[in-house]
Amino acid sequence: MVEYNDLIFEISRPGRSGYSLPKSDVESVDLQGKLPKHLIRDENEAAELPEVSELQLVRHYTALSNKNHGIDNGFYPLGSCTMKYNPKINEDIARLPGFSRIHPYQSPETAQGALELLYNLQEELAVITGMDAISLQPSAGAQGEWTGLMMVKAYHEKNGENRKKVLVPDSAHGTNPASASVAGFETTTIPSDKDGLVDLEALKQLVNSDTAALMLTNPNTLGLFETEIEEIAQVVHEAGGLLYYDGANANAILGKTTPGAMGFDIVHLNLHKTFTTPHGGGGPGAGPVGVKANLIPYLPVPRIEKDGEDYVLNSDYPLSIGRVKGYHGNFGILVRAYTYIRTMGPEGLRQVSEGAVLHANYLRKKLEEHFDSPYTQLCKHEFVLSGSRQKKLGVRTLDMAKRLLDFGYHPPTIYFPLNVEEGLMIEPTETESKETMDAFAEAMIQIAKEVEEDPEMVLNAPHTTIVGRLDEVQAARKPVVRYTKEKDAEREKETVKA
Amino acid sequence: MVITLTEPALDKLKTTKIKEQQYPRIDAEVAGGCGMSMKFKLVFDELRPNDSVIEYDGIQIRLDRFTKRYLDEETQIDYNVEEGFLVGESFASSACAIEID
Ligand SMILES: Cc1ncc(COP(=O)(O)O)c(C=O)c1O
Repeated sequence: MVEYNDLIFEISRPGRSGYSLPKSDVESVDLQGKLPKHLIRDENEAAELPEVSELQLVRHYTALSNKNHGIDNGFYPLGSCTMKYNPKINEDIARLPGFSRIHPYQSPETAQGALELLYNLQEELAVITGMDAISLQPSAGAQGEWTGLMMVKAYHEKNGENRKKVLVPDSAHGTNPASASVAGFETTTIPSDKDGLVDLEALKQLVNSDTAALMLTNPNTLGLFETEIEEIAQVVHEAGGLLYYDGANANAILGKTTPGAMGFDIVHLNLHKTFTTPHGGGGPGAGPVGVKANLIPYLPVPRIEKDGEDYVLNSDYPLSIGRVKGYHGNFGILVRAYTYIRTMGPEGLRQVSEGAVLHANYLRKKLEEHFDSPYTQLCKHEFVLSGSRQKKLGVRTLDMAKRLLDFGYHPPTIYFPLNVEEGLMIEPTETESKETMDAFAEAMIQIAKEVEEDPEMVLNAPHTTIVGRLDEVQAARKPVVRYTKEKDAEREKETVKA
Repeated sequence: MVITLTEPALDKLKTTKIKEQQYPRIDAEVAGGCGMSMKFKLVFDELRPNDSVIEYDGIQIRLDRFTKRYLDEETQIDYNVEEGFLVGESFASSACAIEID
């Protein structure tokens, strides 16, 4: 089977092909003189495409796909990413012909079922977040943030104000300051206090008449609940600012509380986290935004509304920030999220957050004596450990993450949030069994022991993966992103030398 | 692996009072999130079991295995009052300004 571990270019043999066409019955034409010279490709410039049979092609890519790590083949405690199981019933429903075969250009009268689903999803998400209206258009968390901030801007402008500053805690996800910047704001960082929460006194100093909004994740990226959220909201509101809720961590609060109850004005959710739609390579995302009543006029259009018995698209909102995505968002993903909400029901969703929080605390307790824990209070859906104890022994968090690959686990998020030295951010999610978490904890504890007794084992990891430790320096500074025979020969020579 | 110190860096190191049991070290600092970046710093701290020691003009500088893996073959340490010690080149795994060939 070695062959299928090779690059597709290495399997290639001149003249081999995966198709055969009938002989052309059209006379071939010499293009010289018929087309401008610069449009005719010189024979020597032909792309060096691999030449393989259909079966070789299938085996090659099947072998590659088997090397992928996904939630369906292993534990994936990637903090902040909520890598939980994506129930297969979501896929069944999304594939129903009525959902999969409609076209976004169909007139609304012929797509009433699809619009009803979108309308119902808006209603459900409004209840879940404690908001008054939802737009399903944004196609990722970051786009939801940007959409929210464009509404913040429109809102202040309507009030005759040109507020320029968006406040973001130092533990925030990188997309928060990035979205603020893309929306034309300047960001101010709020420091965390010793408990990992927003430093309220520092916040009071930083809030002023130039504050457009505060962006906050609650629980925050450390998995800690901002207990002073009501006072935080009051401070920002009294200064005339708005409160933006980054709902990427909503898995911790489903059915327990809502951003609306905490005092937030705008929220986005990551359906590809909390609501079990596939992440990344598994499909596109969805980052719906919700707002309180005073911001409804600014929501993206068209809005999906109910008019008597009919579902309609309404663009008659002159203050709207406009359309933020083609058509109506990633429809297939919205069908999956709606399926999840309906199969779980309110009680099921409450169990989700209870399970997520219980699992995170269970693992935290199992690991806390083996690693440094910068924050020791009860956590919500995730927790952060620090590898500083191991760093003193000359082994880093990155080394330990690589060693976890040998046990078949996807490593946790590492070196994030930025305010924790050698951070390891672990989010087990509610869908894992106790046995899986126990086995993961054992692996982590074994690695911590190896750091003391056999550090080389960790420093040279991974040992069991198809490729060993990659050279991140080379990859960052001199990435080779295109295969050519010459480059490959050069590389072979260099590896032999080394 | 070659480490060179500029004149100001050498002067500063020779005149810095270092606590007992502490030694100058080049240390890789990693920052994560979406794509990793690495910075190198000059710090003063305790020995680590797998330290390498590099000498320059009578000064011993330590680095752990991890740092050694990522640091360039040739690294210069500079010093100025505003920024302190500056060590080598940092890199980010998702930097935009990379050389592609
Ligand atoms: C806390 C937090 N906010 C925002 C985002 C951005 O979401 P997306 O990746 O869908 O753009 C993430 C995702 O990684 C996150 O964890």
